Amino acid sequence: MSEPIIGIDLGTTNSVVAAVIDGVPTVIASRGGYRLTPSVVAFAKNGKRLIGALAKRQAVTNAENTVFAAKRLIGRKWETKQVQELLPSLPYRVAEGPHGDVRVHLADKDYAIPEISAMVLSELRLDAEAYFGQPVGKAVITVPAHFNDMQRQATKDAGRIAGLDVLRIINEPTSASLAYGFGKTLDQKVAVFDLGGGTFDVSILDVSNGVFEVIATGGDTALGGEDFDNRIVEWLVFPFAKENKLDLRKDRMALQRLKDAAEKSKMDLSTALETEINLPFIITDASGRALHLHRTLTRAKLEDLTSDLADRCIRLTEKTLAEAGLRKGEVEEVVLVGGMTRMPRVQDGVKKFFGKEPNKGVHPDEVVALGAAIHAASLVKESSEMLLLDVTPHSLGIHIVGGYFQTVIPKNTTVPTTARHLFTTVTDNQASAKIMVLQGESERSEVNELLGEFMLTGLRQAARGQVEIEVIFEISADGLVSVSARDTVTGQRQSITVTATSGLSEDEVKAMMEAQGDYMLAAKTEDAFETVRATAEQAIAELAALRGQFEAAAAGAEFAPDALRRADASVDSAREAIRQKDATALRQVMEKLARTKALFLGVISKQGKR
Amino acid sequence: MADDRIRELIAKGLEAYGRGDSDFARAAWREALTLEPGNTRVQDYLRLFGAPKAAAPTPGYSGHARATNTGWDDGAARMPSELDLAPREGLSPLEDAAPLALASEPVSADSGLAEPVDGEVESWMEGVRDLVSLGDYTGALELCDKVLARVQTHAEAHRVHGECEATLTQMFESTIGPMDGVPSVAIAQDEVIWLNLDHRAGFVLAQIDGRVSYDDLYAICGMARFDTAKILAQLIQEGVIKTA
Repeated sequence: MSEPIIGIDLGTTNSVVAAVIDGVPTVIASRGGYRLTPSVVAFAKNGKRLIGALAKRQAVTNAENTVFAAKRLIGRKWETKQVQELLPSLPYRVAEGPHGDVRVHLADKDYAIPEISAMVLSELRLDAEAYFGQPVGKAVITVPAHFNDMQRQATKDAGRIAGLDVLRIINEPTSASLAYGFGKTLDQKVAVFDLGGGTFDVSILDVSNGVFEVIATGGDTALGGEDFDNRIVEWLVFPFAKENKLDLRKDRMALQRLKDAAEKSKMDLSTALETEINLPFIITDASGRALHLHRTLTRAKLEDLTSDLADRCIRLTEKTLAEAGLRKGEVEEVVLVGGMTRMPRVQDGVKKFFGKEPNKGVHPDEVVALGAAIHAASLVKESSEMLLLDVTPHSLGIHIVGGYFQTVIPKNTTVPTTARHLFTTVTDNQASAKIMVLQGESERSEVNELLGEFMLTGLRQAARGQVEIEVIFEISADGLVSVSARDTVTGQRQSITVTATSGLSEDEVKAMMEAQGDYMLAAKTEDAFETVRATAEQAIAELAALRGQFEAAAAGAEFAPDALRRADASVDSAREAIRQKDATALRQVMEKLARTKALFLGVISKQGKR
Repeated sequence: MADDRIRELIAKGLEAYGRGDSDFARAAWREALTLEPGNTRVQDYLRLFGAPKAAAPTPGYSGHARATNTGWDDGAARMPSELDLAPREGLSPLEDAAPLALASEPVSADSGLAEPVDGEVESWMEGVRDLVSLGDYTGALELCDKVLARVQTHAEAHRVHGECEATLTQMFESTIGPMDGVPSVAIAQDEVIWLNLDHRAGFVLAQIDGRVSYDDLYAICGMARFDTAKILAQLIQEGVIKTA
């Protein structure tokens, strides 16, 4: 089998890995059997590194050593407004890194955010390798449409640290649209309504000939399934407090159970009309009496508790549609993404707003990863029609007089591309010009992101406006941006190559790759041992079950004592290998166990025929 | 009812013994022995008052631990020589029980004693050593807690506390079995409410879903290994959970 290529939806709350297998886009379940892997990393109090479902299950009781929603921090500078606003809500310790990036302090060590995301990606990679039974090294990873270059580069670095060659970073709404097959149809306007665990993103796309242009994006980075869960938690907690004078939220164990139960009941109510919430021994009161919590939640009550949240999503959708300059009727397809869109009240809201049934053909939790897998497969298929063209996610340009931003390459331009623009001097006898390369959509320079700057000196002496400077932007197929400026008369020229950085140096990324590689090797060794251990224990149990029958069948036979002694020796060796966690020795002894079993069965069978 | 009374008398005896009130302890245990003459645990405690060490069998968990080969004896062997039980001055030989008087208020960690009383703490530590030598690690642990509540920096109490926890953890884990075993709930959901659990055991029980191994449970429960092991062993012994 050729090397599999995976598509990864690296979500804020949950991540999913998928691949195209025998032509069918398929989600790869984790080794624990889960289709979604919570994007949660923790160092448990016993020192064990936990990733995914296990990490999530201790997120409240071990809050200071559990990192969730790292995606909100990836590729962001410490001093940015977004990071500073997030800080008060983070239960884990964060600090400014050596390059002005964000570092998380976990179990006496500082980790860069791409390193944390890499742990989630590594887990997904291990799941994929366990599924395929061979190494997996290439991937397509999705990011929100509004991610800037630094965030995209940091996501790429996370992939590298996890040992993945990230072939492409694609937008989540684009990926979802791909999964619905919209890449094959022409000229469609698609709305992607993505209500996940922690964020709400709505995107309006113009799909045409394999180009997915994101016309507008909107949403709320602090609105998601957890807000719905919290409403249920409050509904459970307040009557309990009234009755027992105890606030369950103040007890970490109780709060963890409440959150787990709230999420489960919410999911149940997507299909059922009512559900029981039963939490025995939730807390012990001052007298030492254990108290229980038992309530029935109906779908109607849940809708009542969360109607404002669902309405907020619709208002944000309306705003984004207006920004796209479209009327509701112009949107031909509405795609639902994210587990929360399974809630009937959310679906009804979307249907009422757009006046049409949303497309529910693909599982909303999995659709983004499936799209990424489809794109990944198309990248390596020689005869494949181009499904998706790489585009610039943001406009590129330079700072001009008055603090304004002049776009040179508009967003959603397919790459590779080259664009040029003429500028003039603004003062008489201006000898030099500062070229500030920016990225963003604002007409004000200071709002956009500075990618780099350089000086063009030695301009000829002339009145203002008389010296023409040609600025050329070039984006290579690899995404490298080169900017040059040239005095059109003298030919004086300066240039810069802008390399997107994630906030990590190359040496740091390499060191992190090495550390993560060691961890993955240990994890694979452990997995390999577990597989052979399970088989060995099964064989030992079978021999124990056959032993009595063999003894009866071979009673009096000369070979019997020796056979039994050898059997016991093999079982002892197997047990010792298990104790030593020695997979190689265990594999060797497995052959002896198999031969012993064959001998036992043979003798028992002959006896039966007599 | 008699069992409850015996348990109460044993506890009161330990309490009294810990605070140096040997007379009261002896009386309580003698009364317990009257109610159940064959109670070996009580007999062992009464041997504290003068019986040689060799005569003291190991009570409680020790038999179980030995049967399951958890290194219980090793744990006891690790105890330093000063813990060896020997007849001490001031302890009367076994004699007829004095009439049982009502115990004064038990001494607790927050009993209002502002300053440590060295003599009292030392007598508790004597009790700790005796209980360890008898193999009553649970009792020794409780008494260590009491000492540490009074004198937080008590080095010997810290050390013995750690050793008792380690030994008990080994014992609990011998009940649990291999750490990669996956437990599941063995009783119906509506029966759970009738169990005698506290909220911590309730939390551990809530994490058991038939998919998570014991090893992972230790990690996600976030409690000290000793506490998690104790709860899991209790749930297994009571038939609430079983290993698949």
